[in-house]
Amino acid sequence: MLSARISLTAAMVFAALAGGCDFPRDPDSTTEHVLERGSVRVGLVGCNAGEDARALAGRIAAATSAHAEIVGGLAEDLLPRVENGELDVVVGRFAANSPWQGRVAFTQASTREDPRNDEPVVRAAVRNGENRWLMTVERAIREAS
Amino acid sequence: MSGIPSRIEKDIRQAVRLEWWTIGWQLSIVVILAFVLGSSQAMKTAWIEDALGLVPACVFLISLHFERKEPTRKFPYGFLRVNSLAFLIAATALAFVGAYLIIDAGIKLWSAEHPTIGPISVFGKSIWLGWLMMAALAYSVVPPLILGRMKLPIARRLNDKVLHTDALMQKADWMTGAAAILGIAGVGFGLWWADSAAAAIIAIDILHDGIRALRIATAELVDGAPRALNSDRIDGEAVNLHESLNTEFGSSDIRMRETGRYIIAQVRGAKHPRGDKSLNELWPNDPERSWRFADLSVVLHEGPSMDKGQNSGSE
Repeated sequence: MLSARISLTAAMVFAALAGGCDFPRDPDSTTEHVLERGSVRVGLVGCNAGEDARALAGRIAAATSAHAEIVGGLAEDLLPRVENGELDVVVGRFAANSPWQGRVAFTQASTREDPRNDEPVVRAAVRNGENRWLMTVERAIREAS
Repeated sequence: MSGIPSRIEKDIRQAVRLEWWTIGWQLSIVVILAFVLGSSQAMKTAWIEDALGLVPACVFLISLHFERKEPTRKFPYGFLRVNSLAFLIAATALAFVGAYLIIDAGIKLWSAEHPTIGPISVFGKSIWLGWLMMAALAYSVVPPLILGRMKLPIARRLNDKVLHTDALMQKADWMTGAAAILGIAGVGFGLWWADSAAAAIIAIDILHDGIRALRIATAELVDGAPRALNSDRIDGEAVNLHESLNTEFGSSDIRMRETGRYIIAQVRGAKHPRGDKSLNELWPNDPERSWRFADLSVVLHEGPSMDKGQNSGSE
């Protein structure tokens, strides 16, 4: 009886997962919106963000076959906008233990080196919970590095 | 009364073996889940529950160590109640952690916190961490399920409440794993609330385990009548013993309490002393379980003083 219930639960979960090819999905459909618009709204932190950050923004756009709509600004202005979903991604120099950690989701560093937790390096920030979009951005970083 | 009755030594050895297995398996589960914890609330809650799953096993082994110890001048009744004391502490912790996790999950639901589960690199390939979480949770379900089922009959034979609660907690652990898997799968489907909802369900289970254990431990520590293993009802064997002592001594003032797995009785206002009747002879239930009746005090009804002519014995 018990094992039957467990098997049933497992079967339901895996049948459901197997049915969904776009797994995981975004609760707020960031990936879908990017594909529909054909553009990625990128916030670039700092007027002198550097070539690395600009290149990363371009790679993220290329990964979705979209063009990048770049907005420059300060981290304090741009990160709340990605948190609210007004921007799709913010690229800049952030430390892994940034105080924004938790309010937005940071990707790994765009370089292969393993930076210290408090060392600001080029990385991207996306809206919390947008797991498919996060996967897409992370892949773009990994493929380039 | 001290030491373990020889009739239950075999079951005790088996229980000890199972508890060491439990500690080993639970530790492996705790370590594996720690590697894939991520920021999922359901994972965190399942992980805490699995870590708490170590507590009853440890309490059982520690209390057994004390149960074997001889009484001392400072502790003339032995150390049988170490079991209840340790259980009370563990139950309190369990109840508090459960309550905290319910509030934590509630806050996350209320503030609509979206759990972020990103990719992880495995052998150079990037995969969604949620898959590993679900695999680890599936693993975490199997050992407790098997061990819980193996412990249940032994706990009944030993009349061991710690072991019984442990077995029930483990038997129910599959629900924890299944709830957490559904929570992670829900996140995968874009349902941000699934994670916190699953965490809340698991936390309610932890609180439920804690309250159940708390009631059992409290009943024993305040000298309550012996309770049934799986409920707050008075134990059937104790009820029969009460009747048997009533018939034997012609007194209705019979007080029974439980110390660990043993029953201790006192007959007040008895019409005659106990004589040379052994406790085994006075035990009205299955003779194989007469070891449970560990001590009897008989206070004779002789005039106004109730404490005259005490006659007590133990085996």
